[in-house]
Amino acid sequence: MTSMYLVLPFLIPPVLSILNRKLGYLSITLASLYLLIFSLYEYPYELSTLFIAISSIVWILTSIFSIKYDDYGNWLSPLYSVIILGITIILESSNYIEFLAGWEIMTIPAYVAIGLIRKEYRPPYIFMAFGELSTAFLLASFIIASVNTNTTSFTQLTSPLPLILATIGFMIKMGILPFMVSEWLPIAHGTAPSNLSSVLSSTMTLMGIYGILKIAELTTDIPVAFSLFISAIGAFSVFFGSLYAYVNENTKGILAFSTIENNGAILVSLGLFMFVKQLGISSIENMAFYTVIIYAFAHSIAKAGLFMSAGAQESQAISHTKKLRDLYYVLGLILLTSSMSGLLPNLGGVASWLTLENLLITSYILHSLISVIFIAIGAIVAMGEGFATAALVRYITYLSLFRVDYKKIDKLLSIPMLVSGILVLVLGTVLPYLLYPYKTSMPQLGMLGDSLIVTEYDDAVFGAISPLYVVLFISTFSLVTYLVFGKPKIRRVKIWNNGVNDQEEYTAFAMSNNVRLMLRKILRTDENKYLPTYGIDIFWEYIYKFSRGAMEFGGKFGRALINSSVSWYVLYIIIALIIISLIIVI
Amino acid sequence: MKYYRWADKGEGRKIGKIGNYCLYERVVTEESCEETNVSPKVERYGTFKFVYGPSAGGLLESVKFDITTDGERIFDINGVPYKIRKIKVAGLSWEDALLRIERINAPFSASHAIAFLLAIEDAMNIEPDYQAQLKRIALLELERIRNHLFVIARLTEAASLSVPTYHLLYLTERINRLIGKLCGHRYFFGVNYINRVDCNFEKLFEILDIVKEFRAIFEGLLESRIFIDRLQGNGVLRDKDSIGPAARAAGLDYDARLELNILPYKEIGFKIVKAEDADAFGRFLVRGYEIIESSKILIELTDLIKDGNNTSTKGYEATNHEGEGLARVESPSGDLAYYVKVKEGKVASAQLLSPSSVNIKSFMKSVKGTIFTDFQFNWESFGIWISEIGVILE
Repeated sequence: MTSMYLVLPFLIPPVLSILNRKLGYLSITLASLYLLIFSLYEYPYELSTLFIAISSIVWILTSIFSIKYDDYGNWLSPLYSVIILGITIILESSNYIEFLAGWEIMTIPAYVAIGLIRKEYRPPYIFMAFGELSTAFLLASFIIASVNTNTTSFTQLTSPLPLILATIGFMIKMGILPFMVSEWLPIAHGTAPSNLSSVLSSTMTLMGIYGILKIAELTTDIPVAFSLFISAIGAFSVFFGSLYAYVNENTKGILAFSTIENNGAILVSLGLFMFVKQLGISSIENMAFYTVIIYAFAHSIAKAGLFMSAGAQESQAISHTKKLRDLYYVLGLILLTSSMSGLLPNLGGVASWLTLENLLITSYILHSLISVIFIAIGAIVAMGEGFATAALVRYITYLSLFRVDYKKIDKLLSIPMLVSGILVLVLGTVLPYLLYPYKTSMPQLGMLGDSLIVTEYDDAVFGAISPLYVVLFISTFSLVTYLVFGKPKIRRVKIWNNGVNDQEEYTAFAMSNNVRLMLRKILRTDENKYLPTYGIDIFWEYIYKFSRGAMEFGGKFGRALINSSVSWYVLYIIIALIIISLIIVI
Repeated sequence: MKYYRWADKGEGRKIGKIGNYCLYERVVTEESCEETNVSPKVERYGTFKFVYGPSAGGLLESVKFDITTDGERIFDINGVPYKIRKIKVAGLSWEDALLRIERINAPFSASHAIAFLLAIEDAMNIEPDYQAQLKRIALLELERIRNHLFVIARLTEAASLSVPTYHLLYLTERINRLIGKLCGHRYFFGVNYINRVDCNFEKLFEILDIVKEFRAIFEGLLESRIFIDRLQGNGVLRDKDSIGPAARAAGLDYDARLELNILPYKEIGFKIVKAEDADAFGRFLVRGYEIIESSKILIELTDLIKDGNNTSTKGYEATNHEGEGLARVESPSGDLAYYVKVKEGKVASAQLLSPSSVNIKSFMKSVKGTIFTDFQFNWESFGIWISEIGVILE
């Protein structure tokens, strides 16, 4: 280990935690701060430093939150600090053995913690089974890599096999499709206490991203089909992760599925990174690399904050949550959910934009049949992002905005959450300018000093955004509006409800039930008996008819064209997508 | 009672509750008419009570629906009319009582007035005048056409099909004007008397133009997939306790016009329109084809009504000044009945069975298991008028 002195401080918190859990959390905060500062100072250009920065920010915030939050007995704090120790070892590892050791140190306490605290067998067993399956793949990968290179150190790999095996191992840890189908990650993360969920979702899955990126950088020959497969799997994970998040009823389950969605989006960029690396398109390789980093920052910090917001709730059932209207809590939630929804100027907005831009620019440049794959991936990701926004709107609505149950929560619970929200906002306007290499200015629009983040190929700009100018526009217009019109006047009135006094509450379950019912064939819900109506199934009916009766199609088409049937609209969209794809290909 | 008899147990199909009694096809009993097969209340995770109405878009009249839902799908529903009216008829002469009866629900004014007068004639043992009976059929069929046009317009409006909606409303207005031209009042107020109908049916044939125009719209709607999709499979109701178009849409040949010989429908001859699917589309089909069928009856009547261009001034002879009478007619939305008691030539008491009071129960049965977006189409397909549900005759 090249930087043992950075890991050593993390040996102290497990011991201190046994004596006093608050002291344990405080020591993790200090150790993380130390790790952050020294890594940035000593190894500013290392890949691991970027991931250390993400992890240590998350640990600092989560540990401060844990001081007040942890009333789970004596075991949570020591196990929590051992998990962090394991992650630190992974990040500081210089060979496969250290990496694997860190991986196990990180994994084992996690399922012990879940088992001990919840006193349930199923979630820790699930976690253990998937954790060890992941380890098995990593072990196989690392053995092959070591044999091929005659060293256990991270050196260049000519065979793609270690990357393929390791990627599968890391994907299991990230809860990506097809491993998502078993829902192991939501079960495990949803069952853990919030501070632990926060670390598991934000930094343990982050290690999967780190691992893939690290091995991919070392691998010189990556099969194109494999990278496309990875991107496709990522896209489907985005879609299904966000869809499941939207229909989930457990506050932490929603966040866990959202983690799968975000990891899927990162995997899309990772696949793209491998693809363009193999083809030698360096500008897109760079853009994809920084997209992964920016997305990882956005997801981990925001997800840590969101798990803290779930931890402030007494109930995990979103339909039974109390609406907390604490100022810091609301402000934090707004920033966090808007970032996770991909709204500018938050970091999540920049990350989402870069993900889609990279796919589009690649499909544009390739000008071949493979372009269709990237367009399809982009379309699936965009659909998934839509569901993700809906899931987060539902989340914030039922945790805070809908009504007011409580107005105050403990500052130690709300401030770390608010800070994570502020961080995703501030980093949105700072980090892309610090890290991302492709910037320009547009003086004719008043955008000076390389404030425009661009995607480009062969020095030709493809697309551009400026989070800084979004901030300036929002603040300027808000300030002008305030100065001209003054403080907004609020008139509170009783909610109009059809002229009667009933003030019923629309439940969170009900909010997402339309999608649950419409997509019940995808979601595999056993609800058909409640919905025998023909109208709901019209889309599927037509798809069925379409495939069965091509002969009848011509005759029906004329009428269908003028009938405004929703089913046909869906078909038009698909046809339009195919035509656009073909235009780009040709 | 000429048309009905008292019995200990019901016989034939059950029509519904009339006052404190239960009305069947040919008998009236003192049995309880309440539903015995009521489904249990549903309480599931995520369900809540959703209020629709009494003052909400999409509802013509004030009715509040408490819907138990877990979002989109409707598990349970309870409808509460917000138009409760106590109307005093006891102690009034039949003429004065009729003024109030025909105003209970203007769109069904002819049905109410004719059923009430038939019950009075039954109670006072007045020999029916054949020509007056034929004219009453004309009024009922004109009312049926007008109502069905309006119901179909409401259905197309719910589907945001503005062209057929306004075209149908235009045709409804033309019917109103035709009725105004024939009878002097668009809603038949002041037209009906005992053994007398004050209308001039000379221009009754004009109905043909209206129905011809309707047929073109109807055929267009039958080819509109977006319209049909909203109705098919929506609000399926196969219930032997249903009445009117809702029953006929389920293949049941329930129709007061042929069940009783109160009005000479059988002599004119017409066929009952039925459908099989028992859904909102079936109810739409029944109404559409009934418009055509009713127009045929009306054309038939142009030959049968002999004094069509003269207002009858013939009086009546009552053999009884005390008695009870019960009469049922087929209103546009199903059976409508009045049970009256006459004492000393005045109305002693009156009980009403309105089609909407039966149909709202049918609607609430059919709505369970559907989703919110189905609601409007299902609701409109029953052609319910809240104004006649909340009426308490005193």
